[in-house]
Amino acid sequence: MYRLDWLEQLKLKTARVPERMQVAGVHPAVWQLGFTSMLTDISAEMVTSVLPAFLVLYLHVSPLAYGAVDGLYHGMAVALLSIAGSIVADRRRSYREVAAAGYGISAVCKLALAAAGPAWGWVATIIAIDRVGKGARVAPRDSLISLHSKRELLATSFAVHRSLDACGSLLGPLAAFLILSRLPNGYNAVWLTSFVFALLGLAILLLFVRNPSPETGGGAVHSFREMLALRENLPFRGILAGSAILGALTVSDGFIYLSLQRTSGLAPTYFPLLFSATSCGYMLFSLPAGMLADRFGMVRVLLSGYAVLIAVYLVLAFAGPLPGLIFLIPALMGLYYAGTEGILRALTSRVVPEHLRASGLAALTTMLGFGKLFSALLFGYVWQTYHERTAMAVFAIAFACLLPFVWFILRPRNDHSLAA
Amino acid sequence: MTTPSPRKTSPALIFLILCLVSFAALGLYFFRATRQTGPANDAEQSETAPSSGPPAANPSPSPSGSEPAAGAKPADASTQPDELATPAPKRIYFRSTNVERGYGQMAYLDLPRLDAPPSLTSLSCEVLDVSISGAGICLVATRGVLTRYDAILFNPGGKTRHSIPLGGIPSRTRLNRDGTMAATTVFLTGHGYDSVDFTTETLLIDTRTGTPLVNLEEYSVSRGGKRIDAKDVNYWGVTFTPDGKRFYCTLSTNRQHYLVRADIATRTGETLRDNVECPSLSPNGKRVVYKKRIPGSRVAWRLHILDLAANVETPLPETRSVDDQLEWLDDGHVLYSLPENASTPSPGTDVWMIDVDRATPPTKFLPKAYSPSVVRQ
Repeated sequence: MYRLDWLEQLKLKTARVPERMQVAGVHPAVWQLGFTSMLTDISAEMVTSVLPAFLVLYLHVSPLAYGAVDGLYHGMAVALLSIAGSIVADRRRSYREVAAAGYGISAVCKLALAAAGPAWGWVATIIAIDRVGKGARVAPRDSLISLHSKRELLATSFAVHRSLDACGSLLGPLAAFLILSRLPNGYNAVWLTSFVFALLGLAILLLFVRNPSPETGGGAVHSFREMLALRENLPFRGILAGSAILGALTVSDGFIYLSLQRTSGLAPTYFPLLFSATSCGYMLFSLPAGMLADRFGMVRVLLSGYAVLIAVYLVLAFAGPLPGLIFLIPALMGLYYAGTEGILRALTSRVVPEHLRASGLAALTTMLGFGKLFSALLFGYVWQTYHERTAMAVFAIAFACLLPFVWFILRPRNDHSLAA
Repeated sequence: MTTPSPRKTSPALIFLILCLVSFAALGLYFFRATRQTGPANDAEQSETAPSSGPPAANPSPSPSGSEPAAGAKPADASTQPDELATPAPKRIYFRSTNVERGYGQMAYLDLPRLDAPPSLTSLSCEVLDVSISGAGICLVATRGVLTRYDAILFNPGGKTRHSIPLGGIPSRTRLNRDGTMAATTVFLTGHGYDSVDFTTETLLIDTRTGTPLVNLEEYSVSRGGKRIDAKDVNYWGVTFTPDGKRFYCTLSTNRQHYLVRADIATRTGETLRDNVECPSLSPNGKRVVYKKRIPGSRVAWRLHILDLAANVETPLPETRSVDDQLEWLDDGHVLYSLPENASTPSPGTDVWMIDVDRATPPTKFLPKAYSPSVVRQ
């Protein structure tokens, strides 16, 4: 029925822009933010990819201390700070400034790594602050993308941004390992190069990107009460509930690749390549997925993306050690990311009023995060009590059962809001 | 036409200038960094030849005669005389952390003359251990776009006998007294931001065949008569008993760290004490030194010694936090490494010595060294 509507619109020449024009219609600010993210991701992934070896082989950190550094990654404080940052961004309409502060913090952290003492405590603190920077910038940046985009190009715009972002994740580890293969103990060279990329990313944001002009928005938020009124927004509530469910059924990448490694017997040396292959798939599939979402409906593409994730669970639950698995799974994971990550933000942007955009997007990320926390606990429990394959099968079945329900709570309201 | 253009082009121009300046600065840094390592490598090469002279010049008769020492040369260092084949009575092998000379290479010193320049070997090790015969184990990181890690088992001539791929970043390794069995601990790490918590993998390896015998996770360890069957169990820091039939190690589960004594034949073990990490058994097998977490602090440790027969634990007079698996010099002294500089980052570490029976402060034993391994006759 939905599709027929679209064909009808096509006949009446009111159908949404043809494919060729979709990418051309993406606002320059989205491209600029895309390049900011690409450079920042190169910077971040350079550090992330060499950090374990740096801690163990260079600082000689022992197992327990390593666990403590790793544990700092997960923090409720980061979620709260990102919400606070988003409220500030909305109230003052200073998306660019809050995002820049976040990018700036992370850039300074890269420089601080070069000056940190050999005591691992400094490194751990710097990494924790870096995470705060990342938490603070995401929602304001996504708000900038959505506020600079036409309603009918929201998904395509996010897709352009995410594609460039994934390109950065692909290049970062490569850059780091190239440096270390030339300078075996050149961790300072890695941090400094990382800093330069972060600085250039920040420079693009500050030099080129502007806050959306006031007339496009509904003006600054006047009271906190108005923000709380977002609760009454039914489509938004649907998305929050839906994303909590989706998050709760999403198994963390770490578990998926660990499971894949055990199934396929892949040598540990090649383990990082799984992440690179996923980034590559994400980069390639992002744009087609975004364009499809703008033409055929975001919910449809979003849920197809999660259907791909269910397929991943099923393969890991039941497949034997097939040689093609190490290519198939990262490709499917790339497809899953392309169909879900940016699309969910585009979907949220469509229902949240412009003057509350950053707060709404931050709330979405927090709900997803809560969901994932729950998923990690549940998955870990089933894995420990039974078997990792059992856990994959349980999650696949649960997801398949709940997907129609998620479709139900996301679909109808959004179509109304689109019509409105 | 001219009025809008300066305002429009200026951000692009600023960005371009910023790019040029930062990449020029980075290029300069790289140029200097590669030049710094360049001459150092040359110096290292020229120093290697003479410094390996003395051990070759006064060879003591090699007791380990299974392989003729002269023939056992590393293939990639054919110019070097054979350094490992002539173990002197008391020798200390270690990883050199001297950035000016042989950084990362296995080096050794003969005990009375510790102030002499260390003799370098051709092996590059992250951690190492050497047995009485001069054969040993060296955990190697081969860096590249994909870094690979291997355990190299070398014979008394320093020649690689077996190479075993490792699943993660090397952390600890120990041999039993006769060198027939080795233990290795590596970190298995994810790569993404929200990956699973850290895990370790500790293997026992048969050094004669070069085959991994068992992953310690297959051991059945009990605590107070009850078997620990949690799946978040991690093992690290193995130390073998003098008879080679048992070992001590750390077992971690649910954020607790236990001292475990395990039996190799039955693959069983039991926990002995709480809050113990990286045990090291004295040569006579009577005492264990280990690091113990300070309550309330997540990552600061104090060294302690445990008399196994009396079950009495005593702190050692070292006030700094030591994060290492200790090595016994003799039955009364232990060695451990600390960063050479506590405030600035540097790859250098020093080996310190402390008397376990007296309240005397620690002394610096070997500068610019890590992972010491004492070879006794």
